[in-house]
Amino acid sequence: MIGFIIRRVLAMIPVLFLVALITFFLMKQAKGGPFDQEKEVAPSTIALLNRKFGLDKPAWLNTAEFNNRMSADGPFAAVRGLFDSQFGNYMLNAVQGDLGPTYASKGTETVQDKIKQTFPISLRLGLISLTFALVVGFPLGILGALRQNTIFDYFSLIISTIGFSVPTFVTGLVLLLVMSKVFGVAPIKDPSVWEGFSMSYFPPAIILGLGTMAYITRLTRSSVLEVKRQDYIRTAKAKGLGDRVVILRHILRNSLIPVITILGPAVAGLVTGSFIIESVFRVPGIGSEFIGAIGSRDYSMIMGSTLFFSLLVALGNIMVDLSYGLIDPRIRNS
Amino acid sequence: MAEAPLLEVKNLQVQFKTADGVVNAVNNVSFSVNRGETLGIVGESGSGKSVTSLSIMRLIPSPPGKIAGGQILFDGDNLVDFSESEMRKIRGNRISMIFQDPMTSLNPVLRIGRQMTESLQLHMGMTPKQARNRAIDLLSMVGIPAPDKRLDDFPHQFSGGMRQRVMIAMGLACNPELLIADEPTTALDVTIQAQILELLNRLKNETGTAIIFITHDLGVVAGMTDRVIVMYAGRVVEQASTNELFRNPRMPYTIGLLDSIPRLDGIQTRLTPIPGLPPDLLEKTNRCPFAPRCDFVQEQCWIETPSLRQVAPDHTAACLFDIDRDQRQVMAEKKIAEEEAALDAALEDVLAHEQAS
Ligand SMILES: Nc1ncnc2c1ncn2[C@@H]1O[C@H](COP(=O)(O)OP(=O)(O)O)[C@@H](O)[C@H]1O
Ligand code: SF4
Ligand SMILES: [Mg+2]
Repeated sequence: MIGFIIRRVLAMIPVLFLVALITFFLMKQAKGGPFDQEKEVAPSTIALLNRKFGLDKPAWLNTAEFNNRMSADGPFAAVRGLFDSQFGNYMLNAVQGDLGPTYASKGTETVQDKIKQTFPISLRLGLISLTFALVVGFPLGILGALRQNTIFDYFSLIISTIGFSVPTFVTGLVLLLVMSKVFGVAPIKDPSVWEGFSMSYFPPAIILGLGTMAYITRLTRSSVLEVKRQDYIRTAKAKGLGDRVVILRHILRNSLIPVITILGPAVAGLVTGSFIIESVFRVPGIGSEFIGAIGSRDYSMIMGSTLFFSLLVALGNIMVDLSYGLIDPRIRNS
Repeated sequence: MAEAPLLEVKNLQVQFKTADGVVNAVNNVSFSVNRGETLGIVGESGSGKSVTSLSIMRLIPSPPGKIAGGQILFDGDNLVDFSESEMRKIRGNRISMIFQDPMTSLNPVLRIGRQMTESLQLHMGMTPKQARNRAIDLLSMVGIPAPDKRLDDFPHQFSGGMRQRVMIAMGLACNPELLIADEPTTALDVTIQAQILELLNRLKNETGTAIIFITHDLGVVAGMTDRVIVMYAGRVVEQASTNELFRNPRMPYTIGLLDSIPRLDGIQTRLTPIPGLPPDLLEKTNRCPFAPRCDFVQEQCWIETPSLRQVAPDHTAACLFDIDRDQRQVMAEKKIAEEEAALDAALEDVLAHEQAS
């Protein structure tokens, strides 16, 4: 068990490195820079800013510095010099937990501060959303399967088809419209609303969780139907067990197994879904921060949050694999 | 007058509604099992053995299946009329069942102990502690070493043979009056098969439980059962005591089955599986269902369905004619002679051609 966790955590390192590499490369390909403004800025100011953020260094490898130090200080210092580049310095700092200053704040605020400040909001949103998806999706799927081809089944099928096929920005906007036009709820402007748990989380969380809920419903339904016709369910019935015991003790746990597998991708889906939902509902979470950062070419913020999201998804997957073993003894013992 | 039978199945009809039409899986099946008796049900795959036994438990998947007619009298009560909750008091308690595939018949996520104790707590009102002790006794009774430890294992930690032992232990948990074993050894290796048969034989004598032993292999019933019924295409086609059936089979299908058993005494020189396939159960016909495969088929067989009739004391068979094994031997020899003659003729033909050219 411990060995499994250690192995999985170590395996995250190359993944995260690759994500950083690709993100950095893509950022460099995009036209424009963080200090492009509508009006002219003095070239000297830009040069100063570039110096401050290390953008005067080469992007990947600093061969000039390598050659300098090779002749002056020897090979060890030369290698350090080679990595005295934008990417090299970023990674060295990131490993120590410093994701650098945000460009938007002109260096007064660090990326990790920004994440610390916005992530709890997104986490609350995500947790409510996931809970909604599980608490509604799982029973709906079970009900659909146990009452196959009845009104329950069709209801669960309709709900899940809508949730599955209509994109969140559509359902989100519709909900916003309905809320403001029909119920007269004004859009939230006061950021303090989001500081603790509040009812305001529910509309965006439900919209965000709709797709996952639908997926869980469908998967649970087909999984329960599959388990229902297994030989061991016939064995359970042959013992004279009642429907309730057969369902609760013999069917449910087995039908959870495939549902757990999709929780990893589901968490990833919630993360990416939150970008749009947070923007639509003006939730000041890390998702809207990320969208803002892309618009303003805030390189360090983009890098930082991308890495953070990747870490989140990777950790989510490890947790899913662990819970897999909790439910299925065949996996636990192998 | 003898004691009333423990189980009496009368004119059982079971149908499945499928996309292609109604499948008549069990047709007019009647048989009985006495207390403490072991009845064998033999027939090839698809002949309705499992459907018959699941009907007794009232576990036919429904839809698509349904008991369309007949009675299942168990200790005088007609189980066909029982409510679901009345049936639950019978299942696993007075009648229990062992299934074919031990690899898939145990719940993979529950410990063996949990799966064994649930019926004990349900039917015998035992506390968890009492049920666990009983489960330990049961496991050692079926020959599982270190039973107190194995109770905490999961099914995947047992081999196929061991799992079938667990299934047997579970089946016997509440001292059932009737145990239905549906091809309990079919999925197992030959050596394991022999061990499981031996175990069942021993437990049968120790517990005195009546057993319905289902198999597609006549060879297996020989040392196991008191009486045998042979099923073909959802019908009972022959019924006799095991000795009588082996000594004097009267239905061509049974004769074919017996001749396809490799014999140890070496009298038989050729292994003769019955050629052809069982009939489509969708069509309702009024011919003998075995006619297309029968060595003795005559014109009458195509227009009349034979019903079971007495052919010897306590021996019934569903054939229009009085056929026995000697005739089969004669027929088989005649057939071989014909085939050889045809082959010779063909060879001569070829030789003649070659000489001519
Ligand atoms: N669930 C089902 N749906 C449709 N037909 C079935 C079903 N179960 C059994 N049957 C039919 O019943 C026939 C007898 O099956 P079964 O009793 O399992 O045979 P056996 O146990 O002798 O091999 C099969 O040929 C099949 O056509
Ligand atoms: S009735 Fe005719 S076809 Fe049927 S078993 Fe007897 S001889 Fe064969
Ligand atoms: Mg069968």
